[in-house]
Amino acid sequence: MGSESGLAGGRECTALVVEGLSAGYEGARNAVRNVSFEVGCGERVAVLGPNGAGKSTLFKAIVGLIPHHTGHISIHGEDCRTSHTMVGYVPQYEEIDWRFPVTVRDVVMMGKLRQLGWLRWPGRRHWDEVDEILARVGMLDFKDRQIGQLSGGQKRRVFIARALAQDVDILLLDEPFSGVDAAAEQEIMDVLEQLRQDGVTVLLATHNLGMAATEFDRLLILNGQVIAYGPPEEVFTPDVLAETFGGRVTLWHEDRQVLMLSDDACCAGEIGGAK
Amino acid sequence: MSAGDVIELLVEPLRYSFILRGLAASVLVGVVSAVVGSFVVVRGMAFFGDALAHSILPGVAAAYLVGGPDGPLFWGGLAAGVATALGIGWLTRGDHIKEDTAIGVVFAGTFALGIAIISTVRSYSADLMHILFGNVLGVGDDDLRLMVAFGGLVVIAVVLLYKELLVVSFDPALAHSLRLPVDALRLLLLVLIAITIVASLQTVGVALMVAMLVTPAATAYLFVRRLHHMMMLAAVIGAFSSAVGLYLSYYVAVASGAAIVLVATGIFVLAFLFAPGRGRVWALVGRRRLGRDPDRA
Repeated sequence: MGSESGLAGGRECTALVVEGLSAGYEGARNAVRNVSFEVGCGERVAVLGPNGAGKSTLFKAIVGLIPHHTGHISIHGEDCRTSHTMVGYVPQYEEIDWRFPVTVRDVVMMGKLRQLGWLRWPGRRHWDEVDEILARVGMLDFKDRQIGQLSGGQKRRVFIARALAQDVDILLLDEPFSGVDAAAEQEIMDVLEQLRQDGVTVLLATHNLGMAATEFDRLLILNGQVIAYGPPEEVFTPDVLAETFGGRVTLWHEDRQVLMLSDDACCAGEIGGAK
Repeated sequence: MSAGDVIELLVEPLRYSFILRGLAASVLVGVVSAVVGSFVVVRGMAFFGDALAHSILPGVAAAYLVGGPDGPLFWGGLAAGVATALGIGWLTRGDHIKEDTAIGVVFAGTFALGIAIISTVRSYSADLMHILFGNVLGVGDDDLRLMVAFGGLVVIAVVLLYKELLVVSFDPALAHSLRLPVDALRLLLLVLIAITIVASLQTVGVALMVAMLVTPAATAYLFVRRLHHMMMLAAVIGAFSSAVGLYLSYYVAVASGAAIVLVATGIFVLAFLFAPGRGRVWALVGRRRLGRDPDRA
C-alpha cells in the first residue's frame, strides 16, 4: 500500500486529482460545479459544508456511482473510469438496510469479493483474513452479530473494516460521525489513525468543525463549488466560514489559538480548537 | 392413533401416481421459490413478485390459444415472464417513474391482456381457474421434468452467484465500486424470479404465487442472521408447507394451492408470535414482567 512515510502532507506522490468536476443527479444536475483539488498520498482531508453542499455527490462521482459530465478525476495518475486502484466508500448511515440478514463477518467479506473471483465461495483462509481485519478495528468479538445489533460507532468500524478488506488506498467516508457519541467518534478516529499508518488516503465528509480542525491535514470547504482548500489554519477564516455556513459559526482568535463555536444542527455546541 | 395409522395416513394417497407427481412438484416449488423468495423479501420486492406472477398470463393464454390445455403453456409463460421482468427493469432504470408505479401499470395491463386473450375461447372458465389457482394434481411427467430442469437451473445460478447477488442486494454502492456488472446482476435476479414463477405455475397458480415467494422466506427471516441460512430454512419451510398442504387438500377436500398457502401462512403467524427473541408474544410477556412503561420494553 501507498507511501512509505505515511506522514501528514507526504507530498512525494499524489493520490487523487479532481479537475473542473461538475456532477449531479436527476433533478440537480450540477450539485457540484467546477470542483478542483489535489490530495497527496496518505493525507487526511475533511470535506465540510452545509447540507446539500454536494459532499455526497462529490464522493459518489469519485467512486463512480454517478457519472460526471465535465471534468476529470484521476487516481494515482489514472483516469478513475479505468483505474484499477480501488477506492473505498463508506456510505451514509441511512443508505444501509440495517435489518438485512448479514453478520459483521459477512459485510467485511464483501470487500474481498474481487479477490475471490467469480463463482467461488470464500474458504477458511479468507475467513481468517476477515477475522484479522476485524481484530485490527477492535470488532472481532462482534463478528457473528447481525449488523443491526451494533452501536453507531461499531457499525461505522465494520464498514471501515470492509474497506480494509477491499485493500483500498483511498477511502471516502460520508458523514461517519453523524448520530454517534463522543466515545464512538474517538473509536472511529483511532481506526483512521491506523489507516494513516498504512498510507491510506482518507476523505471524510463531516459537520464536525472541531474535529476537522484538529485531526485533519487539509480541509475542503464545499458549497456547490470549492470555497476554500488547504490546511485548517489557512482555511478557517471568518470570511470562509461566513460564506459557507452563514452566521452559524463564530471564531475567536487569541494569539495563535483559534476557538470556534458552531451551532450547526448536527453538532450543536461543538467546540474545537486549532493551532 | 398408532404410528402405523399415521404411516397409513401418509402413504395412502401416494398410491395414486398423480398425487405422487403433485407432491414432488409442490415440494420442488416450495424449495425453489423459498430460495429465490429470500432475495424478494430482503430486497422488498414482494409487490414486484406478485405483479410478475400475474403478468405471465398473456403468454400462457396465447399458448393456450395455440394448443389448448396441452399447448406450450410453460414456454408461453416463460417468454411473457422474462419479457415483463426485463421490461420493468428497463422502465425503472432511471428515476423517471417510481418503481411501484411502473410495476402497477405493467402488472394490470398484462393481466388484462391475458384475460382478454383467454376470453376469446368459448368455455374458458375452467382452464382460467387452473391457471389462476393452480392444478397440482394435473402435473404430467413432462411438466415435472421441465420443473426439475428449470428449478435446478435457478438454484445452481443462485449458489454460483450468491456473493455477487448478496452484494448487489445489500449495498449497490459497494457493487459499483467493486466494478461489478450491477445492472446485469439485477436483471439476472429478475429473470430468475420469472423462471421460478413459471415453473411454479401449476402448483399454486398465478394468484397465490407471491405467497410461495414471500411467506416461507419471511418466516425464516425471523430465526436467522445470515442470508444463506435464511434460504436454507425457508426451503425447509416451503417444502414442509407444500407437503402438508397437499395432504390436507386430499383429506379435507379443499383446493391444493390454497391449502399449501394456508399452511405456510399458519407457520408464519406462529413464528411471528413465538420466534425466540423476536416473537411478539415474548415482547408482551417481557413488558408484563417489567411492569412499567410499555414503550420502554
